[in-house]
Amino acid sequence: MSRLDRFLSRLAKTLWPRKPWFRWPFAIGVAMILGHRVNMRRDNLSDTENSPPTIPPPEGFDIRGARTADGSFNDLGKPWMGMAGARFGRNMPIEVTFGETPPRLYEPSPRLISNRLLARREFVPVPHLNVLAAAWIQFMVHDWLSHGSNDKDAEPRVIPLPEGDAWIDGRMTVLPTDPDTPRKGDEGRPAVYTNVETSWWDGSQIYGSSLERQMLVRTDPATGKVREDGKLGLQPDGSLPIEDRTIRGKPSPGLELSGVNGNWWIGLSVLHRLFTWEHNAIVDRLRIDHPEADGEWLFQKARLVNAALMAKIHTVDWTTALMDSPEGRTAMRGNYWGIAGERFTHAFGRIGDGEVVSGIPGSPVNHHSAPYAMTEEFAAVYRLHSLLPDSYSFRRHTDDTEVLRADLPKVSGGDARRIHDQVAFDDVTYSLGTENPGALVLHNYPNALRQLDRLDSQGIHLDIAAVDILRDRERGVPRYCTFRRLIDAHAPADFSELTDDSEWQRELAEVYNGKIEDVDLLVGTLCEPKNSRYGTPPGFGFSDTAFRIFILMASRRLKSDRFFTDDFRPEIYTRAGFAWVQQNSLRTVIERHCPGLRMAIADARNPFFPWKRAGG
Amino acid sequence: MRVPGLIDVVNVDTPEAVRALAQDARLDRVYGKAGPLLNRLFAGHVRETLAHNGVPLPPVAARDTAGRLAACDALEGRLRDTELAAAPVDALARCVRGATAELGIAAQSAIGSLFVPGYAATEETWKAALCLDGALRSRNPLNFARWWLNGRVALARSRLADACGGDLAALHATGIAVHNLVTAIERMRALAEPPGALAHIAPEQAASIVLKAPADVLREATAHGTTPYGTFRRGTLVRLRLEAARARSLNAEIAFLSASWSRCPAHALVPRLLAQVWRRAQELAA
Repeated sequence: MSRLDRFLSRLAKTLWPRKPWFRWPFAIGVAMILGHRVNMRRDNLSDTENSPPTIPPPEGFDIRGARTADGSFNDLGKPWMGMAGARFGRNMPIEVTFGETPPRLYEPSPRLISNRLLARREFVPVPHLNVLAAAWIQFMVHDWLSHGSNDKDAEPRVIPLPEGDAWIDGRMTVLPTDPDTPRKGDEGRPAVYTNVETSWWDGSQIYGSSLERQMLVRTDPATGKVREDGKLGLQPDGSLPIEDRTIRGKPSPGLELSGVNGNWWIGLSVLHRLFTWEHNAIVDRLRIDHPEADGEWLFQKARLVNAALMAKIHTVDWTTALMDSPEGRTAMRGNYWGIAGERFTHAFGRIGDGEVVSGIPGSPVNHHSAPYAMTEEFAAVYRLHSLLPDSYSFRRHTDDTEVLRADLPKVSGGDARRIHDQVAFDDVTYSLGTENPGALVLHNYPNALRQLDRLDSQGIHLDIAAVDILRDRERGVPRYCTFRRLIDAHAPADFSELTDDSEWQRELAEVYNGKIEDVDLLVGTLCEPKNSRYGTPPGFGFSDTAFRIFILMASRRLKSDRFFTDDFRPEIYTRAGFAWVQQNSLRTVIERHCPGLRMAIADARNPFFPWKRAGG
Repeated sequence: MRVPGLIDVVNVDTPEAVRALAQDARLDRVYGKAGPLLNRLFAGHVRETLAHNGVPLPPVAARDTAGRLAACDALEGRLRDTELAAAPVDALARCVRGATAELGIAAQSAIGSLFVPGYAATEETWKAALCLDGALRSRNPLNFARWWLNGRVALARSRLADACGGDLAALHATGIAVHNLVTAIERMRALAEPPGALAHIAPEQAASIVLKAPADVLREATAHGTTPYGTFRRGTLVRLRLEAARARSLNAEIAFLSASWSRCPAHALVPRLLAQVWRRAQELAA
């Protein structure tokens, strides 16, 4: 640990018990954020891989110059790290991550929490964001992680229904998450789960996490053959091919094809289409400099560039929109450009290897205290379903008149494609860019998701809100107070310290029988917007608790990845590819593929802020 | 930490680093033979404290010490097959349930009886264990001198050796390792405290959570080397912070270095003993 890191670490440790970072002056606040990151890199990374598999290098594949389909060989010394099928890591000490078992698993009932604390009473919007921001985070999460299918051989969990609950089936059952098979050295340790996607920021939501899936998205739907020009498959009208089933094989008529197409809705459909087009545009650009290159080489280089561009957009555009405070913007833009800033870096390049001065991209790789993996706690704090509105208005970008209004189920799954059939792509994108997402607060969980009719089987319904609560408990994610203590954040001593809203305090005390220590992580984080002392930092779209995990993992996704660190250079990306990453943003992507939206997006300081309405 | 001529220490606390350095052939338990001033002082103190009549106790014997490996294998086999007696397990289980006064003696009896049939810990043997452990942890050179002059530590060692019939492995177990068992039982008591916890936590899970590894073990570099975890020169002290690494991974293999040449022969026994204590505490509560 460098002297600077030691200083920042001590500063954060000393100051946080007095008040949280966002209540100190700007410079101290930023230093505390960096100090928290140093401390979490040391204390909040736990490895779960005891005996990792031996992975043979793929034959005839340039592992140094391109990302493998399954994410292996990113770390050349530990090729299994971050690949599809590797285990989730933890942001908590392993000893507190044993999954809860009945009766504790159901105390209080997840369905009771869903009914009393989460159900949306009226839509609470986030006025400073647009719906693309909600779609974007799901787009990213699909890149990073998935627990895959549930354990079909296990006894279903039966969630107790509160008295008088008119749940459709009269019995709420949920299959447990499928745990990894215990290996040597796992004795006495908690169950662990595997990430069926690559953990890397490699665009696997577009390209898939297996060679088989990659070949499928590279297939031209007109010919049924893999495209030889390195581009991704599209229909003649530029829309995504139709797969008619999810990646897990569940039938879903009209569902579009992509690397990951689960939990599909119109927001995802738009972003997948945009970045599929972007891939093909990058291929066209690379071919100018490399006319002799074959389609395989062009595909792999374009993938590298496209993935890096998405990582940059997330770091520089999305996070700064969600953390819209001077400290948040400084910290997140600093992750990418460092305190030297974008202009300086463009003009003079990096200054040394440090990530503070010149940002993480191009600095040396460092996994800190554990091999890289997505973590269960990261998945837990990214339960952001409340961002989704229940209703969508699709309007023309030319005059803002409504073309179509649809509820969430009618813009989901295969129905997303039917929206495209009725509304022009520019208008769909414009509509999402001008509407607000839901706020991450209690009583704002989309009701459509609380009574979800599963795609593949009639008569089986899910309450995703209850499932969210159950999953955290089942996977051993500590409850809110314990979680906060383990990330150097104030843990509320009673309900009045959890939220300033007296009505919420009463409801919480009733549901949790007066036990503050029992409050679930998700519920606690949704209380933070109404907690003036320890809650959501000013200008932030999500909780301080989520932000702590975020500053650790957002940096780690870059810092652990060879293609963002040691090999983030023109020799690997190509000169044109490297410049493409540096010069583009979500704004340029939208302007390139939807030139008609230039006026709408022009006045938005950030593309995830609400766009100007036509005629407004 | 390195100040040329004064001190040269490499600390590691991640499971990966501990595993790798525990296997490194350039690191051994040849203490105080080389290195800067404070290295020689501290390593020499460890060597003196953990030796009886000039013979190093087995857990600090150098890698190539004659008969070390065979003795370790034999003890490991014996401990693995040992049937745990009901009385010491009962005594420890009662400590989990709240009887705190006798914990040290109960733990020492439980461990001693594994080596010496009929071993009975007393107030004196427990005090001797506290003295030896305190001396090992001390980093104060004035204390080293004081103990050398008054012979207090040597006396404690002799008392422990007499109690276990001169068995050096037993001396280490009842004088040093016993404190890890005491801490584990104290953790067990805290773990059992919340209502319902004792009944709902499985014995193997409880054993895994409360297991206490030695805070650190020392290796001394016998040659120059560069590793991803630090660079060392001849005489550099490498501190493997076992408890910190174990807590990160909850892996008993780290606690006992059971995949390395210096594995603890009790690596199978201790988790079994802890699980049995928890099970017995559950029975007492039921």
